[in-house]
Amino acid sequence: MKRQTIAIALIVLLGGCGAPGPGSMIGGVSQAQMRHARTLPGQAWMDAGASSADLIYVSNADGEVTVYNYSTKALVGVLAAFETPRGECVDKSGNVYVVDAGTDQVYEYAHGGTKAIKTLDDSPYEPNGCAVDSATGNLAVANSQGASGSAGSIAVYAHASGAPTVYTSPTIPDFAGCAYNDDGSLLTTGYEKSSNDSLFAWLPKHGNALVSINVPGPKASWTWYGVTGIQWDGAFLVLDDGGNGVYQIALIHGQAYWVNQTLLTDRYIGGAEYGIYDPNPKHQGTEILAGYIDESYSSGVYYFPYPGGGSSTGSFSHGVDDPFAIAISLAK
Amino acid sequence: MMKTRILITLAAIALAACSGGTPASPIAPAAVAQLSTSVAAGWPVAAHPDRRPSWVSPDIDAKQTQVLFVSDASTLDVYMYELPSLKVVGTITGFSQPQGECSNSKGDVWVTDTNAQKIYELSHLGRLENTLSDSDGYPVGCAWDPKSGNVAVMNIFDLLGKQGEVLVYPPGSKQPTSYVNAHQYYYDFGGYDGSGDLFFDGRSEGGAFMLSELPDGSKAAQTIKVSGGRIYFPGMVQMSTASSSLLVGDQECGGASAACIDQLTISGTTAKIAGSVKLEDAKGDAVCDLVQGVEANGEIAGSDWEFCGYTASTTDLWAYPSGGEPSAGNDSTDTTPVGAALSSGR
Repeated sequence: MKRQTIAIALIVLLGGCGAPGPGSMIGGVSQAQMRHARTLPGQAWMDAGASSADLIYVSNADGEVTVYNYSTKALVGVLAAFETPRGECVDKSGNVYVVDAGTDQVYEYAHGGTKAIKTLDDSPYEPNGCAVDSATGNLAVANSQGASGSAGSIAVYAHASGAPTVYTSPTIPDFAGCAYNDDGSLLTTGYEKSSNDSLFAWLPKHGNALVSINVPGPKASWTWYGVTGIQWDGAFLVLDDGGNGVYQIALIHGQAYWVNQTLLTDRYIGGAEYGIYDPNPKHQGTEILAGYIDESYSSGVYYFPYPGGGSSTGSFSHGVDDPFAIAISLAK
Repeated sequence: MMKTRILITLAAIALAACSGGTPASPIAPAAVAQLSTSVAAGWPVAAHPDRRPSWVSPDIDAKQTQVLFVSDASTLDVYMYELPSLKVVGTITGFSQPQGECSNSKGDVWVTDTNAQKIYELSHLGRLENTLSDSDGYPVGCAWDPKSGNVAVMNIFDLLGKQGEVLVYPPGSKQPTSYVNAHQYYYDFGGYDGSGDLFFDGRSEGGAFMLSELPDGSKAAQTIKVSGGRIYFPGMVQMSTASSSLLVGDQECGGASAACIDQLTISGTTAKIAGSVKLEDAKGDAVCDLVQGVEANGEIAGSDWEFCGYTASTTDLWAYPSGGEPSAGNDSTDTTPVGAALSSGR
């Protein structure tokens, strides 16, 4: 069942009341917020000059991908071509990929752009997450299922174009996410057939098949549950299991090593992927963004120090609706 | 075949070791979980420490049989292969992440258990003789010094994923001394020469291959500059038993998914690649990966970790120094073979 886009201006306005606004404010409501309220569902827009800043892309349950200025936390744009936007990833040029589980398409946007510059047909698979190899530009898409509920896959689009090479696993029927490390190896995760246990497989840099891999956790007897996504933080692969924190893992020539974890102390976090702000890609990121939905169903995004974690240092909520994924595209 | 279960399993030992854990460490002391239920060639089920009992065949002649110990990072077991038949004569269970191995002249074998931060000393018959703890980092490789009896352990990195080190444990001691080469970041495998000098490989922080030497009696390790070719990714390190060459494995031979063993001539702080042994599988294709092998008796013993997806992983014997296709192989057991050590009974 595919979700319909629902935009209710009043809720959007109320939701934005507590969020820091951009420089131009009218009666406590930013011009961008008013514009968002006036915009009809399905219409994309982006503030002029938005692309000069680092941007946050949030995929929401209402079918929109909302875009924010990283520094000011202001809503600066909306992308609205989706049915069910899910995972997002960014290439080294700052182009943003959004996978749509409703249309089974992958959309590529230029940093700050409002129209997709490329669309990849991922059908019959239903995409859930994605990752880009910064060295080759290859795009990997984690597919949760195939046609008629058949097993999912990892689809790799060479140079993020054309038809993919599809990799399947006899033990992982439902792929949730994937990420490349700095040597071009891809770590993937998904769920066992009859449980929420998470399993892992890696695709070697020159490999032609997924290979099962044990991923150690914080305890020697650790079992991973419900890992919803993997990201690269500039130094390590980062696992998100929907809890109040993320886990750093090293993947070195087919061996996974436990490294550390970052605990985030605010309530309501979980269920959404994290976005890691990494202004210097050769070093570990410095801030992590986490989506939240509270007990009154209000949603937003928190900022936390990284990798130290702890309490949040800021947030925004305008336009955020039960966020599924967060990606950060750096300005060039 | 009749199998004899040995009384001591590493699972039990690991549990017993819990009381010695370090609270400040983000890693819990070694413990065990449920065992994996099935293993398919080329696609092992992601496993937890295997709690099935260890076993060793009574067929092993304690004095005569040469045994190749191979650690598997997917099944989390160490397999014992009788040489030269490569028949499996034992399985040691209970590891968390077994990787590199080394052995002494008595036939004892040390196995690094990376995630458990332990180094287990096993007898020729697979019994647990001793356990070394490593509170500094994650052990991958090890080496035994025939001159002093020291055991050196290479920590690939520390507990926060930063620069690794070499820990040297004197005989009978559980208190190691730490050594580093300030220029080396990741520490992988090592081997001693007959004079107490330790050679070990790894990578720089930027990922470039590095070879280092900790000369006998020195307090710091130094970089050995390698010429005459390029080594892409660190593998085994061993002084050849057939010549004065230092054998250094390359897990990405030629920058591809292939493995070779380079023969280095050491002179001071330089080394020259004088030759390279190319290893092939039974089909004549390059082996996908040999993480650690052992050269002895005119052969290389080790395993082809076939993550390339073409065939199953195998444990093989290759002629040395000619290399090429294996003279014998066994594809029945290993899925992710990593470490290898040769144990000769006494």
